[in-house]
Amino acid sequence: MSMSLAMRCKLAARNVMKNRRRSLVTVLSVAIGFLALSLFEGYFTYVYRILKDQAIVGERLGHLTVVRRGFFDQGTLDPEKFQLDAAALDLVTRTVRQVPGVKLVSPRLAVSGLVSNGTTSHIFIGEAISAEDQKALRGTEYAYLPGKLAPGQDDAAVIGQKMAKIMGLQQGSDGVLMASTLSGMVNAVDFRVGEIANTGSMGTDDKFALLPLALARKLYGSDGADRVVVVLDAVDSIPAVKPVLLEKLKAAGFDADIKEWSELSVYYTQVKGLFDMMYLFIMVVVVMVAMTSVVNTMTMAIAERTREIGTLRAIGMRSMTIKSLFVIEGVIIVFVGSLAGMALSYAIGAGINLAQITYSPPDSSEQAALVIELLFNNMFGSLFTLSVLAAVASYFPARHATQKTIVGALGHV
Amino acid sequence: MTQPIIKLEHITKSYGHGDGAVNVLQDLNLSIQQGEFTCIWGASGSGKSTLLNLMGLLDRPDQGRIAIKNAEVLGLNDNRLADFRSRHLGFIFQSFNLVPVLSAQENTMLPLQIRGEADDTARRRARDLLAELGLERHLHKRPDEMSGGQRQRVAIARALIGDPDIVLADEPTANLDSANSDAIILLMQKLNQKRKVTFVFATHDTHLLSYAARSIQVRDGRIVDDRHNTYLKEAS
Ligand SMILES: Nc1ncnc2c1ncn2[C@@H]1O[C@H](COP(=O)(O)OP(=O)(O)O)[C@@H](O)[C@H]1O
Ligand SMILES: [Mg+2]
Repeated sequence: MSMSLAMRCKLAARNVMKNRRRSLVTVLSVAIGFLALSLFEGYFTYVYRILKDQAIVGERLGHLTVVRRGFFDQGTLDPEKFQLDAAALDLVTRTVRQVPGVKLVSPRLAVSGLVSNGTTSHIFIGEAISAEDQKALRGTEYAYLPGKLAPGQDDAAVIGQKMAKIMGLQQGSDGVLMASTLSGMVNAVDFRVGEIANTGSMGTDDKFALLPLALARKLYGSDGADRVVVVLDAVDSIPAVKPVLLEKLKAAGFDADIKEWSELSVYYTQVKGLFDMMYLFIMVVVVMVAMTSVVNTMTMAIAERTREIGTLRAIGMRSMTIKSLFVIEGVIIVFVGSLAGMALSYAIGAGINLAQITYSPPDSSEQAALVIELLFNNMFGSLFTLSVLAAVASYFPARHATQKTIVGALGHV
Repeated sequence: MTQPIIKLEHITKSYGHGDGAVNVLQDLNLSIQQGEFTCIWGASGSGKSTLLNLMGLLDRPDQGRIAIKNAEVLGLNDNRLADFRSRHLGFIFQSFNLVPVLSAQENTMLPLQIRGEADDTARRRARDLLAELGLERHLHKRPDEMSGGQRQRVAIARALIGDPDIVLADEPTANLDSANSDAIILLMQKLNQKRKVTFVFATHDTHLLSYAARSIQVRDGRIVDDRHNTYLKEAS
């Protein structure tokens, strides 16, 4: 025997409406808090997506990187030991291709050494990839990006803008690349500047070189690769495909180690870590402000209605039912505030996106766009969390009130 | 003689503890019979409210026994007590104590809804009862849109809607003018006769004594007089 939920909600809603002004102030504070939270979250969502594409496509990390076990730890010390020679590369490529969900298998070589223009030389650090793989990795969406290797031109490399400036190299200029081969000999190959492209990061732009795989193989005296980058049909299938790859490679007799793009992109991990901390901080502040407002409102509402609480208990309402009335009241206020916040977020988010605001982020040589990408699921999560917190925030003052004696509550003026 | 509907035995009640404790009721014994229309009267501070609160199971005595309809009620926990009040007791308060955000009809429905009865049954019964009390034109008014007398009649409807065995009214007329006071007491008297509900009301207004069938005088927490009257004033 107890009051129906519909009746409880009706009573709670009437009481919210009775104190219109007070309720409105709280609704507004929740709405503004929600708005701040959603806009930050929407901005971070956008940044994460851009950084993710930047890592997968821009840094050419693909989704998964397959190496011989031990390469990630000791590969630089002993490159020869962890190399995939032609046979190993062929085995890995064939095995990986058979796994469902795999779209592209792209062998790579890390490259570093000296670049010379005939008079001076300068350090270069970069990577080698085949022009076809680069094209496939970029797809149509990112085909426009600069720094493209030209298919069929196996001596044309891409170099950083700053490096080109330091070395006085222009597009079409000839130069020499020098490095030590796998067997430890010094080797040199001629190359041509195919394209000059800014890497977007001041830290790398002065030493970056992207070589065609064939050129790098010639430089290093290699017929294979040091790792194989795998691109899947969808980024979401990484957790499903990764163990299958490991298993199949093992069965094929290759002891592999596989890392995901997010593990390899230090930049992504660091920026995300920083932004996640910022978001957490903002969330804590917003939630505290909103909940203080709710506790305040509910404490006032409960104090004002002490005698009503006594009356309801006298006529047979159980304490738990009374507490539920106040909990519903708090949840209504926060729910309405959150809905208003959601509407405001969509409106203001759209406004910000329309305004096409740009800014220059740290360590970046290009302007970045300020875009808000609102996800309904995230906002629903905030709404749910805030509503649960509102229930808790209303429960305690209500419990305090129902712990009074009925006679004491009835005598309250 | 039939079993009393309310039986208080050796009731002791004090407020506060230690040296500051005030003994309000000392070894009080009282029985109320089914269907009685009883007035508990005495000066302010004599202990009437304390006594009514104990009978209404709103408070617990320090010592003694309370039986309502032969049930020992003091062993019940707070939830069981609430359920017991909901089934067997009705309350009328000095300041009406209607829920401000509910209409007359909704206030009247409340005790039935607390018991979990269906809304439409509750609504229909509240409407019929309010009509019986002459409030058919005020069903949808909120308490602040009604006069004191109207509000107290809504409160009477709320006390009676659940067909309680006993209605307890602490100073039901103290916030009303004398014409409204008389009307309210007469209405209670009429409902007592018609529905055979036991009424116990407390007042410091000796003028109302003439409406009661039984009057119990309290002084300093003790019953000093207890008599049955033929009604001096009666509803026609
Ligand atoms: N909560 C309380 N705390 C302390 N003393 C109280 C309390 N309630 C009542 N009293 C005292 O108990 C006595 C009886 O009070 P009450 O039962 O309210 O009398 P009445 O209803 O006849 O005016 C009074 O002296 C009053 O001051
Ligand atoms: Mg009193």
